Amino acid sequence: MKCVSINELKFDKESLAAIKDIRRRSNLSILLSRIMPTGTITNIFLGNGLLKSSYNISQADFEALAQAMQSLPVILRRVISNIAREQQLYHSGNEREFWVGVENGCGVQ
Amino acid sequence: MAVVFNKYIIGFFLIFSSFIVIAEGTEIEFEKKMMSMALKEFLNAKKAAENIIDSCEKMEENIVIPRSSVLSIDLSLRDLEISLYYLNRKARDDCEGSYLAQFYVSASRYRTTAKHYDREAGEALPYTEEKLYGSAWREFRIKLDYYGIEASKRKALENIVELKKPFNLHKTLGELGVH
Repeated sequence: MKCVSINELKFDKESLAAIKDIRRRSNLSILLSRIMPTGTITNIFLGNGLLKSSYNISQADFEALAQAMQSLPVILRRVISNIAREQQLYHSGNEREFWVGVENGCGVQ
Repeated sequence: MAVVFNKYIIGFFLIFSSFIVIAEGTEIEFEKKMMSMALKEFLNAKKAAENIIDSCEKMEENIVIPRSSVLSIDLSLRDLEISLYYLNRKARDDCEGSYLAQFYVSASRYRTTAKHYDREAGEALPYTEEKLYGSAWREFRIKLDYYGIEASKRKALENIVELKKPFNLHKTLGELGVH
């Protein structure tokens, strides 16, 4: 599985709502903060601080996310994976790549 | 006379109190058994749901829909993408069958049993309806988009045997040149 970095990622309203949905539905942010306390992706899912206009997400971020997803109970992981897939279908470019990463930990293309 | 009467009252009080203690003890035991039964049902359903999700995911891992399967259907790339997302989800749901539904029901039964006895159903708290179905509207959007595709094309897609079973969505999107 190939990991990718994403630069200058900007979220639209739809993506932001989905991120909030994921925050509400799982303790993904807690798991992420244990694995990578200061990572960009941890901050996105923790939702602390002001929202930045764009994000740079590294391979290490996606690897941490993959690890956190694996630690989630299977059923909750499926719920998040479904949300990520729905986002993939309605986004393109970097934003789609981000949601593929949320589902798989790394981009698979 | 008064002393004997007092002895009777005290005796009666002691017997009555011990009945209350026994009754309360029995009631607590009964509650524990009920809670334990509901928890067991929940945990069994959770295990069954997790097993089926795992096995369906493993099943789809190496299955890629070949280009030749959809070549004859005149679809735009966007319609093909919508179809693959929709049919992949449907195939997963079919593969998981009623196990996931049974799990949702048992989580709800466990929570309501706990509520009745004024207890916590900690293990079932992450699995409330809001958490599990909160984004159901997004699934309906995909379904609506899929049903916006011409009926004859949908029928042709739904007749493809490979699309009825779980398949690897991302590898298929790559294989068919969608992404």
